Amino acid sequence: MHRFANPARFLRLADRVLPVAAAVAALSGAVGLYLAFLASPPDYQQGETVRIMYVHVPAAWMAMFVYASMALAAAVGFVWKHPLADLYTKAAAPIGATFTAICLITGSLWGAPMWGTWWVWDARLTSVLILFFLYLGYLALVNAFDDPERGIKAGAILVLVGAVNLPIIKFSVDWWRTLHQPASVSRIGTPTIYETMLWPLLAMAVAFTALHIVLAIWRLRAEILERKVQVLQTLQAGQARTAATATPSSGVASPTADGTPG
Amino acid sequence: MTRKKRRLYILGICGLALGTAAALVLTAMGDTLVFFRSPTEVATGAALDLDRPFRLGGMVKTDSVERQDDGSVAFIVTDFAHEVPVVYAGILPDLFREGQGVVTEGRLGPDGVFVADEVLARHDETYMPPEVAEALDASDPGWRTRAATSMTGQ
Amino acid sequence: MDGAFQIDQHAAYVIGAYAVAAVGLLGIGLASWQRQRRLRRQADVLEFQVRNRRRRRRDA
Repeated sequence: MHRFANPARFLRLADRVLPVAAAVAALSGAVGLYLAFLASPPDYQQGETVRIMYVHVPAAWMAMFVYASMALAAAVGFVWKHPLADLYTKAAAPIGATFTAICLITGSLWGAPMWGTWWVWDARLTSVLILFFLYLGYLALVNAFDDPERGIKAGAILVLVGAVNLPIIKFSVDWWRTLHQPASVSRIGTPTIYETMLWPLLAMAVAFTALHIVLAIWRLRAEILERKVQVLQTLQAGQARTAATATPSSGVASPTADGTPG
Repeated sequence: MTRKKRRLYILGICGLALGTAAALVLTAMGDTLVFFRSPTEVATGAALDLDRPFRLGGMVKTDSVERQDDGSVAFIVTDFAHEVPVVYAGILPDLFREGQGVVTEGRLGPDGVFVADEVLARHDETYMPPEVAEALDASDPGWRTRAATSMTGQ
Repeated sequence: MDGAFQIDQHAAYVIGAYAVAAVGLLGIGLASWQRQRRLRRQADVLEFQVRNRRRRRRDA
């Protein structure tokens, strides 16, 4: 694992992975959309509206998966002090927040015609809304500190504490009576979804996962670059101070602020 | 022990503590998080404040839906152990039908009839094309009732 | 098994859902890509400036 602690190594790996992930996302997405709209049947109960499932469910899976990956990265960062782990947590947060928002909005668009309401405060919907607030809270917290390292540390604590929400979301439909129906795919036993409807669902899930990889690489690169920029800016400021304090006419270079001679 | 190991232990113990705390809180809150009451709970009056608005959920009993003269709808909500009659004056959702799940919000009247302000359709986690459903109807006629029943049991 | 999307009374909800997802993912995608590009340019410019300063002072 420590082989990738070196940003340069990670960046080289990322350069190779990115085009592959992008291709998988595009291809899988195209297949998924084709299946969703042109090659899958309507539902015996819900009719054509069931097609919302092929975007709502993968978004929900990603909302939880991204948060789980953030929690894992935060734990790795805490225990092994891996420098890229904390940066991943920060990079992934907006991506997870986007998936969660998509899940909530498409869920409402599904619930309105099918259930007869845009929203209910049942255990499933409420816990996913809490997940969304956790993402937003994390982003606010990490960016609230002048010192980026302290922000990262505070954020890591929030992510890890909030991870208790994930099993709550998953099992909310089993532990409590909810309006939201129980799981059809990620459950013990055979899926309760007919196979021609399972394929578009899985294709979209693969597409979303590959897309997350692409976005996470972009954002992680940005985090690494941001730190590089900060280092360079500090260097540049140091150079400016040296140039300002060195007076050619006096022939004597004054010491710079950090004590080293110009 | 190494510092890394110590951090691992700290993480593990905090995680365990957090999980236990959450489990205790949720277990204690258990009843208040229930999204709806079942007809059995209403009929037996189990631990309910039945004078206040609440939600009632179950299955719409077959052949129980009737249009009243004043335009409202009457039907019976059942969980196959007990039944509660319901009246509702609004528009029913598209998926509302007999033999399917329903969640309704309102008040229980003194005559034992539940006056609903809102009726929501509740569907199960089964997805299949209409042709497959019809094939199942021919080969296994009770499957729809079983699917709906599995939801009232919760 | 007929599998094409038929427009029914709820078609707007279905289209709306996919539109929301597309807009959301495009939004985060564009923002992420642009941020990375902006920072790369900034880093390249700064690196050039810092290196130049060093070279000038070394040569001076």
